[in-house]
Amino acid sequence: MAFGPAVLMLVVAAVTVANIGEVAMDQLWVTHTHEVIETLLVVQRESARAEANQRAYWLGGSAVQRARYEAAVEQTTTSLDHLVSLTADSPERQQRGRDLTHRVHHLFEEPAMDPASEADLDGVVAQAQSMVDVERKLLSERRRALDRDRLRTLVVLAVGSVVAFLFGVAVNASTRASLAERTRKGVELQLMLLQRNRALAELETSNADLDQFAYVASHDLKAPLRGIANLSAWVEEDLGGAMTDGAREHLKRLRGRVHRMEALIDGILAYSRAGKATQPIETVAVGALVREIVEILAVPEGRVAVRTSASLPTLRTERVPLQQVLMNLISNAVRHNTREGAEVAVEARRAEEAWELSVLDNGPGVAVEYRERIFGIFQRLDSRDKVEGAGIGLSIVQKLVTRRGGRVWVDESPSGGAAFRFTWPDRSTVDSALDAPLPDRHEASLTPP
Amino acid sequence: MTDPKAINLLLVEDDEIDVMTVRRAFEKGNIANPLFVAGDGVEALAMLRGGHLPPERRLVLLDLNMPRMSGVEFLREVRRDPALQALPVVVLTTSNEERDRVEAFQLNVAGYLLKPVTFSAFVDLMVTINRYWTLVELP
Repeated sequence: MAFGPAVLMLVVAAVTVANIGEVAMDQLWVTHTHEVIETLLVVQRESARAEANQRAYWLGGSAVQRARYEAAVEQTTTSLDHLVSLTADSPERQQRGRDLTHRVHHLFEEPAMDPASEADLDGVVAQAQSMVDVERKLLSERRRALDRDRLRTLVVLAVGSVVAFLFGVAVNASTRASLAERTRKGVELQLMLLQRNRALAELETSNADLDQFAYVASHDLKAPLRGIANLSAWVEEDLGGAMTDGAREHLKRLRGRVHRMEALIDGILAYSRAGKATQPIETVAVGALVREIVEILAVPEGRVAVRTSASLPTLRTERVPLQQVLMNLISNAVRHNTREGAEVAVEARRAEEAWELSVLDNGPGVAVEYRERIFGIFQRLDSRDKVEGAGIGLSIVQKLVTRRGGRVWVDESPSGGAAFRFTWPDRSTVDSALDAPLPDRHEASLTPP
Repeated sequence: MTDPKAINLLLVEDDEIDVMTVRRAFEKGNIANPLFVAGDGVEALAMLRGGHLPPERRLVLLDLNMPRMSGVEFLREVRRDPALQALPVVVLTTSNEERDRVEAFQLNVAGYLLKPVTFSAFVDLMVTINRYWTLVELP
């Protein structure tokens, strides 16, 4: 494309050279015709002169006239030869040249005072004249051809140049345009990248702020609670025997409410923190993880038996969130299962790209109508007084699981209890080089104001 | 007659109830040590430098979340001051944050204790602290 104009110029140049060649040829032919005419005119003139001098010499002429006569004859003869050779390109005209030559010779051969010689001279002059006329016509034809070709050369050159120029301008413009377009696209992309980075930075800041806020809020909210609990204990102490049983009962309930509030605050903090930053990817053996959780929860051996199935896999995943999810589910299962021979089982099975893990129990189970609601924050099915627990555990589980693109739900276990199931990604198939851990979030400033 | 080996305790705490808790715990635990109280880091430094406490056998019980000057800032100031550098400090706080613990120990605290939830536990804790530090040879 970029060579278009250059190629066009080359073509125009080539054509123009050809044209110039033609014009040169035309020029030559015009000159040629001029020469023919000239020659004919010379023949005309000289043959007349020869006759005149012949006559004068015969009438009593001098050597000068004779010399003139001979010169004129020679001149005429030479011119006639020249004429014949000039018209070699056109057999017809050449023939007429030869005819003229014969007539002239015949004229010269005649004795000077021959009465026929005047008529012969007129004949020669007339023939020469008619040949001149023919040449003149030819001349104007050739002149026309010359002019025409000159014009054509000029036009082709001019038009060709203009076209090539415009072409060049167009190519230039289009190149410039496409370059501008590309630059514009590049700038756009850069802008998008900048915006994305800025949004990311803002998100990080707001996350850090939220973290800080949650920490400070929980701390400042808990301080007065502690005070209330202590004061109520001291009131009881100070009054001692003077306190009625009813009053004592009230104070006990008061402290219970205080502890509940503390638990709720802790729950909110935990929920807001759940799934904050991405943790590093580790190799986690789920079975071992479950046993660890059982130890942390300090589940009394005799009360509940926690079984791990052999199908529990070893994954590459974020350890802490998975631990949190399992811990909440197992702790729930243990807490709500108060029957004899209480059992909790943890199983796993493969589901497409992920694993489906299940925590089953033989406890009271969850009625169908409540199976959605229990994942809501602070949602509980038992009244708060019967079973301790802030109602956060399941909402944290949901947050952690859905954040990883999975889902969590509850249905019935084979023994009639609850089966809490969730899907969790296994990063074993993902290139571990991609999983660079983000900087530790807890390094964000946590110094309270 | 005060025990010459008795520890002079400076409690740096802004919460009034928490101060009362400590006092009552001392009573309950029969701890007769001199107890001085500063409402925040600034006051505490003033008391330490201004001679409000006896110059020897001093122990600071330090809360972390305080106005004007936080516990950590107080600690930094103490460690910077040649006269106070060697002062033993025990952190007594509600914060179980990793970050706070790391910072405190980097500033050479002699202990990091969480305020017990129940009062009886609080009493036990105070008794333990007192017993331990009474045994310790201080510069």
